[in-house]
Amino acid sequence: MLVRAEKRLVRPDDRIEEYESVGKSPPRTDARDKVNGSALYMEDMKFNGMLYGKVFRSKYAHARILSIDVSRAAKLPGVRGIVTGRDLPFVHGESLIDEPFLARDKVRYKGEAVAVVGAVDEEAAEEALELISVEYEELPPLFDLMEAARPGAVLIHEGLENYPHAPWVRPIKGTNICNHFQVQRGNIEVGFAESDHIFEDTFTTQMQQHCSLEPHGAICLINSDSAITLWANNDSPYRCRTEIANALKIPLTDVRVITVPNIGGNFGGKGGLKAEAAAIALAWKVRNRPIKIMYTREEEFCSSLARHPSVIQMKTGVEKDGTILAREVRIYLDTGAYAEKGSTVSRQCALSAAGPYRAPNVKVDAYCVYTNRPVTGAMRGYGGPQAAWACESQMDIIADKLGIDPLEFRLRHIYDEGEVDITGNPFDSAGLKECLKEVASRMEWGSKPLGKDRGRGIACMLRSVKTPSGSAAFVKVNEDGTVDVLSSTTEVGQGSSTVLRQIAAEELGVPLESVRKAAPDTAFTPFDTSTTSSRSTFYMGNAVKMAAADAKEQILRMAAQLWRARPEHLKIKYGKVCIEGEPDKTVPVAKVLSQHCGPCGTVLGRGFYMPQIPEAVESYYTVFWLLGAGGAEVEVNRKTGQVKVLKIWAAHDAGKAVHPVNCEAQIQGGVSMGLGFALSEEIVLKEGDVMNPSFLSYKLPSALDVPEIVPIVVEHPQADGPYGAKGFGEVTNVPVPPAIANAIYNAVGVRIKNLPITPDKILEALKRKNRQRKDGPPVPHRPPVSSRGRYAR
Amino acid sequence: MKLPRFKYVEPRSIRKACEFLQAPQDEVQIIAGGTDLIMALKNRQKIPKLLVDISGIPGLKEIKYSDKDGLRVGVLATLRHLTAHPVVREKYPVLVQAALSVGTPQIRAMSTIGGNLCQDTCCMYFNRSAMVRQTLEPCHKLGGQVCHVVNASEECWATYAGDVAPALLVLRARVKIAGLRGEKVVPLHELFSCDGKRPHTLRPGQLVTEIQVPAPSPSSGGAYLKLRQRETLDYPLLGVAVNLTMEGEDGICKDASLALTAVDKAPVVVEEANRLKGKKLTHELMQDLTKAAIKRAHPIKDLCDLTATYRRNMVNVYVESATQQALQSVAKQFR
Repeated sequence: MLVRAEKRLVRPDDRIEEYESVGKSPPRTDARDKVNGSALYMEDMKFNGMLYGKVFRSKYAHARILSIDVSRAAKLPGVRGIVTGRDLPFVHGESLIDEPFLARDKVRYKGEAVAVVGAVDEEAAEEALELISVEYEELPPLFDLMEAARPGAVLIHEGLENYPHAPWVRPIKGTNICNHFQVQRGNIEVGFAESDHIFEDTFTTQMQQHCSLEPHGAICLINSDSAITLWANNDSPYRCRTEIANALKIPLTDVRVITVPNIGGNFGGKGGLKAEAAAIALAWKVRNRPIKIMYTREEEFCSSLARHPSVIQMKTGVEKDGTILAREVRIYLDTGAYAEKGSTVSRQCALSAAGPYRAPNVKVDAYCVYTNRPVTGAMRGYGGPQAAWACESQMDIIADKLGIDPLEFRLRHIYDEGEVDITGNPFDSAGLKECLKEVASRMEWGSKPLGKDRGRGIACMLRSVKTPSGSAAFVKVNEDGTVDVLSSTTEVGQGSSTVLRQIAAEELGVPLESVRKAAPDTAFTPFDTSTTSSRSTFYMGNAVKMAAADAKEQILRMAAQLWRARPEHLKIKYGKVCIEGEPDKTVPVAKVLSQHCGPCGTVLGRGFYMPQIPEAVESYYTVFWLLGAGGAEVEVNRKTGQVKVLKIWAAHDAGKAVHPVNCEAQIQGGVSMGLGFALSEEIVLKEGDVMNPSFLSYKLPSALDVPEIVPIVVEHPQADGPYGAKGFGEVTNVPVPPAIANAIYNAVGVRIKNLPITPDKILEALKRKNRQRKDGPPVPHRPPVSSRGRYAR
Repeated sequence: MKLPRFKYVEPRSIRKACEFLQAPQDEVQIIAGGTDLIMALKNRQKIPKLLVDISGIPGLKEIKYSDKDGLRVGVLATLRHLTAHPVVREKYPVLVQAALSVGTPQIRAMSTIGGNLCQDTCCMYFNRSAMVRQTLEPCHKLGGQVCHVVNASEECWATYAGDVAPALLVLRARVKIAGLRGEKVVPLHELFSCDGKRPHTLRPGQLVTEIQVPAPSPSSGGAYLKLRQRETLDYPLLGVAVNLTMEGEDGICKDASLALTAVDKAPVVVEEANRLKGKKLTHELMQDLTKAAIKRAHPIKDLCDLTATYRRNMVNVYVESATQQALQSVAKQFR
């Protein structure tokens, strides 16, 4: 259900330009097919002679592989081939190359791929798995994040320092830390020394899974010349291509990646090589036959990807009046057995950790740590939810102790417009302030209390966007005036096809219905870094806009030649070329093309966008910040500890909402994901073993569990964005958990620092609070602050 | 995972079904709605040689009521039909509440009352696929010698988490069991063995065919409360069913019954509820009852969600609320 915002914010400067396609909410490109069931997904892809692959997985968390015997499995009727790590000496990775296609000498987590069986049907492949036997020598496993981070811990990757990696990744030799990222400004020692109060808290977050309805899947065909064709529901075909070509040491042109027209949910989980790696491994051995691998739901939970669990230690020093002087954050992220996107996640988490708040002295250290647990990586808002959980919870702890209103405390510290932020660059904060004020005013912040055991809470968020990165697009105008947008942005359900069509239609001046977005294929659609990080509307939007402008210019030049007019006096509107000042003289684009080139009329517009890194800037981490704020109203049952979330307000800055209804839908989806992270979702692990690998036992919120959501789309134009637009959809889950935790504290006075906030934790905290009350003198809810003191908890 | 290989038969009579069911219990499984079984088959929690589909046996879907005989529910009646039946809705609120709390609308449309009563016990170590379970030694329930929940236990502690059983227990239901040597009708509690590994007492060749519930006294009412993490889909982490018969609106309790689910290897009848008979429901009496209920509840850490301690702590709260709601339901009868 879509709850519409009561009113959209309109800024005076927006009214000047009236757009035809941008800012409207036409039916989504994929809506009809998805509703009637005809949309094509990975599961629908089938080829003649295709084999089905199934993956044999490790039952130990950390063990040396002594031998693998596949002889019995190979003899099973229907089995056409079996591949193990020994057949395939290749290693892949995103920014740190550490993961073999199939385990070679060692397994590093329960559920790691050890062998792949290909058979004529899934039944035979599954049966064959039972006939594979592996001899292991067990090694001491590491399941605890902090234990694994300690110097002297057993090494999960012995040769870590020799792994190839991107220049900005810093593994620490002789440890399990695969990336240490540090960012600092000022001098925290001085800042803390000058502080009147110092707050120290440790916050933790759990392992969350993406729960995309469509599991990972891939079909791989490798011919005798080692040319690879891969059909996959991968979110980033070009990154996928590079990762494969680099790993297999073959030219990029030998790898063709085709993304299925619809990906059934991504949330960051469909990025690396998952089913792709297994399919490639088997196809490498069994040539000239397409090999299909679809993960089961259990494989999704145990062997694909999850969100990094974290331990975040936050220390903040403030003056008597609450002014923040210093902030020190130590972040530990459990990346599981392989780095995956852990290096990027730890960087993004560190950049968000101190919040959007002014602190003259800041130091953030993020450690990305290997453990013998399932691999974690990119997941919606990556780094952001962990950082906001810690930072926004502590903001309320500080405000409460000092008797300052949490809203006022935040507004006082949010960077001023143009103030230098943690990265050393000027911060564009107007959108964030507007988000926070909108949330506060709509939830009637500061009005009378809500009643017994009810409370309100707010939280802010910021997160960087993948920078630098590039996107290219072609806009192809066809003989009949219709338009194809060739771009490698994948449709993962986020609505990019619709948004990119809108931008192309707007720039070209043609009706939206005449524009189509092609499905990505590295053989035809041009380069794009990735469909991640909320970058598509901004980066690819700019590229498509440039390509459309290029096509338009070509068409106008043709028309100018025909009419002996100057191109600058011509424009295209509603698919027709017209001359300024002569409203009656219009010619359809198709006719201009055919008059110019006869039946061969076509125009190809090109666009490539990659922002220039400003000169004399030593560290440039983000071209824009994703910004937002959230508010929650809750009711806590003191007898059961159960939390009922009554309503959630969520405001995020879109720059310019290209498709406002889609923006609101992104908020709806993000909030429900944040709600699950806040209250119920957790991959339960025992000795590295996933105990709840199903939708029955993993508590994804149902439609009945999601409260009323008020989506608020703030539009503070992004100067270099297409039509002022920037990233939006990904981070709408981020403010929800701290807003709920802050509301719970407001309702019943207990502070939960470990996610998820389950009723047993609340009940335990309430009991502890009552005990304290009985034992000692009554503690006032908001103590007045008088003298210089230290609060250390 | 895909389904394992098995033989499949569709008998058209109870007798024929009983003949098929004579095979040793590990080798044969009944299928009706299939909402639990299909998952168990795919996970290889069960690997039967033969599936006996009883859904084609005529006459087992009916729901009948008469003041004399009470309610008779055929074993194949779906939970959706049961909860939509006007007489059931009017006279057995506790049963309707319990049945409506099962699964989702889609699941209730498929699952039968018999299947719900005869559902297998659950445990987080057991309720996963063979592929994921391979990391651990097979437990008692899988034919092994260990229990991963209770160290060094010689028996299986898997939890019975049916919602409908406690409601039927407080309504003093009986079940009709058919066998090759004829039928018998036994109190419902006799259907449960309190053995985590094999939670039911049915012997080879036996089949539950009907559930019989006595007609309710005019001034009775009941309630079922379920603890779970989500508003839908989940099995109970604790279920409390209460049924009360009162004399006059604030009067004397003529009959009281209380049953719990998801706290042991079988649904638990709290016999101490009998002590309320003939008495006014004072605060002290209610406290004694909740104490008795807590004593009989043995939730253990075999489910992923929430701690066993928390589930045990909630017995108190849920019994109290369920009793209050049952009293309100009685009060409605007087209006």
